[in-house]
Amino acid sequence: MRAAIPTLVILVVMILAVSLLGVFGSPLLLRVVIGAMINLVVVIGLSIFIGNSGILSFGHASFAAIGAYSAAWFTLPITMKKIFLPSLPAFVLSTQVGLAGGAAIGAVTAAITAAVIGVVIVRLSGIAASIATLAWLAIVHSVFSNAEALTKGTSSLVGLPIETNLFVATFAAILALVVAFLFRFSRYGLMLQASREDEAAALASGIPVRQLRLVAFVISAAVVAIAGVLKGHFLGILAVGQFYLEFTFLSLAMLVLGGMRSLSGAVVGTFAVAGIAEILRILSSGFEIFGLEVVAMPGLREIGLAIMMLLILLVRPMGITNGRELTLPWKRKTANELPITNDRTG
Amino acid sequence: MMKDLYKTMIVSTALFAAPGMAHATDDTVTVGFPVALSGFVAPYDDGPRKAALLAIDNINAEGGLLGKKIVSVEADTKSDPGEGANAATDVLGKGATMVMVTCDFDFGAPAALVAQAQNKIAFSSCAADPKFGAQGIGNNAYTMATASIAQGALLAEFAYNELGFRKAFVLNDLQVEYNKSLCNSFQERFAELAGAEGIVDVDAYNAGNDTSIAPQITRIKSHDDIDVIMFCGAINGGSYVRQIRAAGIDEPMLAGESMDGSYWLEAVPDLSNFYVATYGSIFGDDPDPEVNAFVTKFKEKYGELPVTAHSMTGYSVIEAWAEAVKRANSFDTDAVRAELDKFSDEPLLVGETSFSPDIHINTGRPMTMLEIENGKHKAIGSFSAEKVSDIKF
Repeated sequence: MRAAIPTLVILVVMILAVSLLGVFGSPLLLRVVIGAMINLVVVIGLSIFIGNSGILSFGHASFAAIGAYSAAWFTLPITMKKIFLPSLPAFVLSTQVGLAGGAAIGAVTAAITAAVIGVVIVRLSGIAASIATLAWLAIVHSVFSNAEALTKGTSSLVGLPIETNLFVATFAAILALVVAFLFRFSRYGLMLQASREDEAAALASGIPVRQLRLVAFVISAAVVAIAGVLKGHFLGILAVGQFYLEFTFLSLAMLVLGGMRSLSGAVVGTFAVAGIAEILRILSSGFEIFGLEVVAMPGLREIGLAIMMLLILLVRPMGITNGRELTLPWKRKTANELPITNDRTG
Repeated sequence: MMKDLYKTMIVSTALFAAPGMAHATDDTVTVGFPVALSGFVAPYDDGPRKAALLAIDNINAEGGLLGKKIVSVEADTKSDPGEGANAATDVLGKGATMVMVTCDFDFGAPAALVAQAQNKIAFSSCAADPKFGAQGIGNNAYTMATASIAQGALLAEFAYNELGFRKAFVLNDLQVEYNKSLCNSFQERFAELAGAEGIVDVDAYNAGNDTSIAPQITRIKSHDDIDVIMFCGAINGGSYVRQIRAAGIDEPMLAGESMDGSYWLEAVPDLSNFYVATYGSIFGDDPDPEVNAFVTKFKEKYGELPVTAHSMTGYSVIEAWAEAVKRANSFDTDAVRAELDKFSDEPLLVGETSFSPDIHINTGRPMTMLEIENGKHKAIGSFSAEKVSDIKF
């Protein structure tokens, strides 16, 4: 683990640098940076499971939803709860906690749920496990869309205190990074990565693959849940649709683009997508070049982002980081001496 | 590779930091439009935004507001709630004094919450959810919509009193909150008028999942005593109406504002016996000449008719705000809000509009009923609900 410390430092510095943009930028840029930090928590959370186990999960948006709503039940001001969610249990209706308490509740609820559903998922391998996570997402989405008393169903839940600021979001991103780092370079993380490379060999070496996958699944669910809590308290509004396919595919795209196999990939991918998206957003509202007026092109961002992703993946199929960790230039040789085997997942 | 990465970071940092803020000058006042210019909500925002710009043109032509010319700034919410909040931050950063947000609660609320936090008035063009007001967002949030509960009650009274129907079948689309609220309020009011047996049966589908409604159609056909079908559909409504008609069900059908406009009629050629409640007729035959004049002006400016009468709500947002500004003789949010909250049956384009400090949506407003006969719309008059159930948040 000690050899990897420079990676952690580089990534923390990167997060702080982006965070500084928010401090000195316009109010809009501040919002974009906070949004990127929340996405980063999601993507780091995803990478704890996907990066180490090699199993793609389409289901983590469900944990963001579970975290966001279970936190909202407690963080909503009591007067608003009585108007919007009057059928919540009495003890919930009479309790109000702050954002930190909400985040803890959200993370624990999601972790418990993940521990239950995870038992089923980790018994499967490869694409079967991925499809199972997708099925799980559909189940949670349907239940939440119809559980009027808990989520207001297809309507949205408003009134969440807007408490996610730049400091909170940056802190959460660094916390997620540290958790992911400690797991990845622990012996359990390394064992799980071994199973990613060759499941049969890992099992033959006595690695408890299913148990380790479950551990990674639970930790990653808790981290993603915290992102869901932050998202809700950033916008002040929760709708079930916020945590469905778009959420899933955008966060997966960030991870794949950065490089699924490394933690650096999660960070680089998230910031790259956020940066490109913001530049395209500015361009899409029209600009002038050499006296030539380029008209507004709504939708440019979506198309542009897709093309950029395609180009990056053409040039670097393993993601921007090529599946390696960022490290100090003079240490690069030793850190990257480990050969990268043919990858089945990315 | 690592070097390239750092280089890219520095370049993008530089790009980010370049500010491009244009602030309003002293002789102008800015209205912000953080609305959907792209994505699936965009068609719903297009009309209200264009109509609002038309209203701004009219005010500017008459010398502006308190001597200032109104200018508009737009930012695309990309039909995404999170981007909606960013878009609102963007236009407020460009000096917007007031914002008009998306015609839907879920997509408009994040932008309105940003405006609320900066103590700026946020008007939704046509979010029909009463949460879009003091209770859900804050005292600066208003909506120009007629609440869905009022539309449901109006349709029930229209069916019972005007058309003389006694037995209704209710077909609900559970995808959108508006539909649910519309059908529930129809059911409640119709059962009051015709008795509980007046509601023959109820069924539902979800436009998000069900492309075919064959089971629901079978259920409708299993009843032979239906006078009218209350249809609470919205997205892909044309396709569902076609399925019903193609199955040989010719009973009259009722629908709310979500089925306004003629764009979906191509799916059901020569549709007859179909009634729609709407803000006004965009076909030039509204009982209110003001509405017809608006439609003509809209066509002059944009070369086409408004797609639906929802556009009128956008026009009235500017009307209402400008009127409140005039009365307050100030652009100050607190002063303007105080005047808005005093609105009592103000004759706006969308109809008589009232607000109070607690209620920022209208329930008592009349709506124009349209009848579709052989694929042609005909306005049959203006109706309002006598009794509307209490607002539930």
